[in-house]
Amino acid sequence: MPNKIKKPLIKRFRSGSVLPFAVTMVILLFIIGLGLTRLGLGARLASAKTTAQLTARAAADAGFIQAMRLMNARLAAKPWDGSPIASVSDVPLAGADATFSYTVTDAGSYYQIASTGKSGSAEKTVYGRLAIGSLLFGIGVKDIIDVKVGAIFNAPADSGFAIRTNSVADNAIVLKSGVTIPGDVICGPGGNTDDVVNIKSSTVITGETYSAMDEIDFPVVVLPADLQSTALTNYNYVAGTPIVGNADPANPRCVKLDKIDIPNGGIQIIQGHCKIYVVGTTTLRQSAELIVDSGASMQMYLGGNMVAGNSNGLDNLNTNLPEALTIYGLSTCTQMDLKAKGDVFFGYVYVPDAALRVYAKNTLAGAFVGKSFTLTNSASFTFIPPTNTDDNDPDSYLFLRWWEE
Amino acid sequence: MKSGNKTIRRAFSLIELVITVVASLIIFLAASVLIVDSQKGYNKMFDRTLGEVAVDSEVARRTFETIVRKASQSRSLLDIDGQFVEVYYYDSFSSTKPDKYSNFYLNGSELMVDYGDYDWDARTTNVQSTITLARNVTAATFSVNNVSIQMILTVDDNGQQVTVTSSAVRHN
Repeated sequence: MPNKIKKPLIKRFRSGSVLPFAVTMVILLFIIGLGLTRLGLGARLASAKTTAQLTARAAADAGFIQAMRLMNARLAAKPWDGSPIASVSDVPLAGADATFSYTVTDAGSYYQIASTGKSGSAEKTVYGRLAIGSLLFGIGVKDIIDVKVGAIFNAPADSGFAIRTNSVADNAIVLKSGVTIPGDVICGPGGNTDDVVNIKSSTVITGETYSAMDEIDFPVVVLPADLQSTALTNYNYVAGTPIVGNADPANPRCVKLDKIDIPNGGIQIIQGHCKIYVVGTTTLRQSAELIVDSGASMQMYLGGNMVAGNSNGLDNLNTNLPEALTIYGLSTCTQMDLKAKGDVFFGYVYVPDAALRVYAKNTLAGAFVGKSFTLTNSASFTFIPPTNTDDNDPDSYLFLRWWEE
Repeated sequence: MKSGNKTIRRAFSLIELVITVVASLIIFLAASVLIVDSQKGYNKMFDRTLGEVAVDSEVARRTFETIVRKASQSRSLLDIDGQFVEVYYYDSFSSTKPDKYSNFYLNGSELMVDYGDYDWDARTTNVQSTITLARNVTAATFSVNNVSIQMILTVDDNGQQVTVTSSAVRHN
């Protein structure tokens, strides 16, 4: 019996080490596994947070761009009342788990856009300021700018002068030898400036050469209502008979002509202040001249092309006042030949659908917008920034600043 | 009875001892390998998520994107070999031209950024501070594509090459 009692005691004594070892191992592995899981959770949370921040930022950017586009669209759709676009809230961002909201406030001298993107708990706000501006920043086109040899450009310091195209095609901007550009040369978004801008070794660009973030939206010219309602008059050139406008520059006389056709050697003078709509073609035959007299002004709306013969001229006798001669081309105006007979042509030309060809031996001063722009040999161009940008009827916004929080 | 007790409590044979020791050794080694591997995995994951390389990469990305997003679209300075990029931005609303600059470059194995004043017309810089953004960087390449700027960092993460790419669009 004593032996039977002792036997189990001896067995218990001999079986002791495996179980504690296994338990220790399990505990150790459990602790490491727990740490690993905790670390993985932390990494996952950090990753999710970073992703949410990036998505929120993308949503804020998307909202900002949409607000910009809508502001420009409102500006293009006349009449423009100056009010900002309506705010939006929690608009879903396509393809992402995010929303954006934006508000546009009118701060008097500028508009401020605030766009907030949200994704999960992340939130990002970007801001931008826009001011009323002008598309007459120098030379702006949709397609091609071709500046021949020896053309000279001048611009006031810090005037923002630029030569700009929306195109990204190779050689869309050609600046021949001896040309100096006192400002920026800008091509369309995504364009490779080395391919788009064709310059020679002696070409000098004092500003920057770069591709824009967005295309310029050149609004179609809309004929003013007062000109639309004006009775049509058949144009008959009578030597020595001027077109006489009103004395009040704020109330120009509206004239609607079927065409303008100045015969060889003829001179058509504009006196007073006129707003002229030419439905058909404007033709200046050999040595003909169309002159805006001193103290007068003319806003000219071209429904057809402007064709120029040899040695003719379109002149503005109001020195340093390009505002006195502004030419707008409707969408039906697809070609404009501009020749200046006087020493200096002062004027602003906005013909966004026309191939604008400038033949000048002397000096052009003002600003030009066309579908394309060709400046012939030896001409010089002086940029005069518009000073009387019409706040009630602006043609573009000037992007002032962007920032984020 | 006495001799019977001795028979029950006899010692292990040599074979039993050898088998036991070998079995224990195998179990111990297997357990050790398991624990060491687990620890190595933990350390590796820790480095990847919270280690110096990970933190530096994130700091470099954020700093780069923040600076580039507010930079001027019209001008930047890119090294011909893509070894540095310099961007310019406005200090405040009263600035009429970009008057601050940042220059990202590799100095040895450190990604650095210089901050300072910039004269837009004279195109001159005046460095005011230099900050190390990331260490253990074996290569840093910059490129400019229209209005966007890209930075590709290659970081040595305990012998492993990790590539971090950042890209941002200039808005001003």
